[in-house]
Amino acid sequence: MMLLNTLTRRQWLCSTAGLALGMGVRALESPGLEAAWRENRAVRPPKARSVIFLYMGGGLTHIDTLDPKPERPAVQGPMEVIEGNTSGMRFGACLPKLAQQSKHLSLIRSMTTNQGAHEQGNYIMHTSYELRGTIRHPSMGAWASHQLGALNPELPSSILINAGSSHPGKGYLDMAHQPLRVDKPEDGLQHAMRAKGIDESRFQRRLAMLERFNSHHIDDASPAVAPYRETHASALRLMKSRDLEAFDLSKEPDALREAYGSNDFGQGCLLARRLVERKVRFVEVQLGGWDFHNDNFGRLDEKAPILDAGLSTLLEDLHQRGMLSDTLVVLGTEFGRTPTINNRELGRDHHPQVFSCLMAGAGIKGGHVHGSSDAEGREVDHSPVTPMDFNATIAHAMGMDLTKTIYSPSGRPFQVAHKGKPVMELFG
Amino acid sequence: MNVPLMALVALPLMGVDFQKEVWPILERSCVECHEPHVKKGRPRKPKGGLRLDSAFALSLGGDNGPAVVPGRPLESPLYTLSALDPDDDDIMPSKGTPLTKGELKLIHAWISSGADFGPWRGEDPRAPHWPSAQSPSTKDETNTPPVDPQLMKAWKKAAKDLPLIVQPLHQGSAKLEVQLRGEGKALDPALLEKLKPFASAIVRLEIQEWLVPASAWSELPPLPHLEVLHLQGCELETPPDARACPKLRTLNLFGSSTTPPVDASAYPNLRDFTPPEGKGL
Repeated sequence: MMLLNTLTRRQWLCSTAGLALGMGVRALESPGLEAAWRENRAVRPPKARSVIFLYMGGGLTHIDTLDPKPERPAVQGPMEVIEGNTSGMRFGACLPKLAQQSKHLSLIRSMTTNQGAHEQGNYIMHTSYELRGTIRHPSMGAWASHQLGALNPELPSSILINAGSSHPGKGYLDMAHQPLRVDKPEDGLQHAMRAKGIDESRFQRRLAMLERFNSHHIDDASPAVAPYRETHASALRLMKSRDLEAFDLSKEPDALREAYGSNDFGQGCLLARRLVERKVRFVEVQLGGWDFHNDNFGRLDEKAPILDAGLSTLLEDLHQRGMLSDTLVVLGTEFGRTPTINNRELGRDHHPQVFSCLMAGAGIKGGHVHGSSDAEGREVDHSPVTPMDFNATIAHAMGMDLTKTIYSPSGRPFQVAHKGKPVMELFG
Repeated sequence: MNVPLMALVALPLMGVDFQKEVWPILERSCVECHEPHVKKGRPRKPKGGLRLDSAFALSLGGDNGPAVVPGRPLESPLYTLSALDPDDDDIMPSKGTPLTKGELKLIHAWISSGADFGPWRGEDPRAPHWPSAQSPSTKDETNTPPVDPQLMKAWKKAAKDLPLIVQPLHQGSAKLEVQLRGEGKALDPALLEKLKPFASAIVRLEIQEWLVPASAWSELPPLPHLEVLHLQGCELETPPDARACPKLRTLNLFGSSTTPPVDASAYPNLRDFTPPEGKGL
């Protein structure tokens, strides 16, 4: 039992590698910045200080949610259509609460990807690069950590909630940029306390011993050593931080917790708000299980209310607190689902040609629709947006440099969003 | 960056003659595609909208932006794409043999030393025209006075154990944001006084979960460029002094208590106000 505990703790220490290398005041030491100070160079500050990325795993059906086609009953099926609270914006009737938030939303109805399988589609939406056998690319949270550093040095700059094991995470970046995983939002952050029976002095003795072992490797040529040491240091910072209480959802009123939804996604959205409040840069919350090859409409009845409550309450809560103006909320998925309802099972199959996503907050226009699909939702009608463009828009909103080239350990050059072009029309 | 690549790029920066040393490489391996040409009897545009057959065209770059950024080989696709692994889908030239290590070194050295074409002009007689590094639209309209980095360093040393985070507002910014990390206690006005040396560079100030006594505002140095003030979850004895921060645009008081209540109209430039009870629907 003891051994098991120790292992888990160690795994946890490793998984908190995302703990920011804490820019803090240290950033002022970088030579580039000093030069900037001297030149008094100042660029327009980015709008999005933080991003909450809600990822719908399995492929969100665009026709039943964000891009209804009531003029084509064969395509629309039994899903009713409702109006948003801004003129001309229609939603599937399974998202009634979201429709009431349309004044905050920019819908993108012209998403398109060349990846029609889950693993590949998921990967390119998260990384902007195609899945290859020889390399693992960083996800957007890791890019943000790498390019922008942490706003709060005591918390990881990127946190991943309810995500499966296939998430690309830090990719080829070093351990310091690994997102911290939270698998059950209501349980908060596990293993962040000293083990029972280990008092502070014993803990310090153990750390001192660890440091003695480590000291043999400080001069190692391997560039991996320093980030691991930093990872441990930042995990220790977190253990002592007041900000740990961000992970304690019981501090929230019951009514608000219920409004978010009594499920992992809803509580994950609430946790995301608490983390962004404490200046975490990038929080991703996943809701999987949208792969409705059969019984599309029956399963939507169960799944859509979870998304509807979580996302709508999140937008409303951020707005109330004056946080929506500098928090970007993004809804993403790997592809859409076929306009044709398959006869066998009344399901919809994979449809990468066109699908829908949305963005809100951080200077994104409200009540706005970008691009469109054709009359049946089969192809992009105009203004296509690729996963690269989509991520470039997020990166631009956060103030990342889209042209900056970094090199993987194998020497290959990469840019955030892989040369995608930000959709500037979304910014008000 | 990894070690082998560093070895490849650690090179002398001086004395590359473009016409004699670099042009022959481009002429042999690049311009077949990167100049206007005729293929199967039809005129074709240069690949990627990029011409490499004149100094002027090369300086303009192609559809994907600049091909060469003088002084920055690692941001210059002319170098980075040619230096890719031969198996990489994006390697240039996309057909034919990759450039040799020696040739890559030459191109690297030429860009590092400023991408000077010498007298060479190629197919277009115009002189090279490098786009300015930063587009004017991203320039800031208001300049805050810079803070002396030496002063900052000394201050930082003195403030090491204080619950203060001072950092640039964003990458490359001379503006500062300051977070006072709340401890649920009464805010010691002396803490605010510590901000004096660079008060004029502070654009964003966050004071969260503190008891803020009336004396705090009088100890706080004037913040002539303060635009964003967050005071969530604070107990304020008096509202912040509007005269001390004339440029204030955003004021967030969510979850705070104030007596008397804050009068938003006292702040002439306020555009985004969150009252203690929230913004409402």
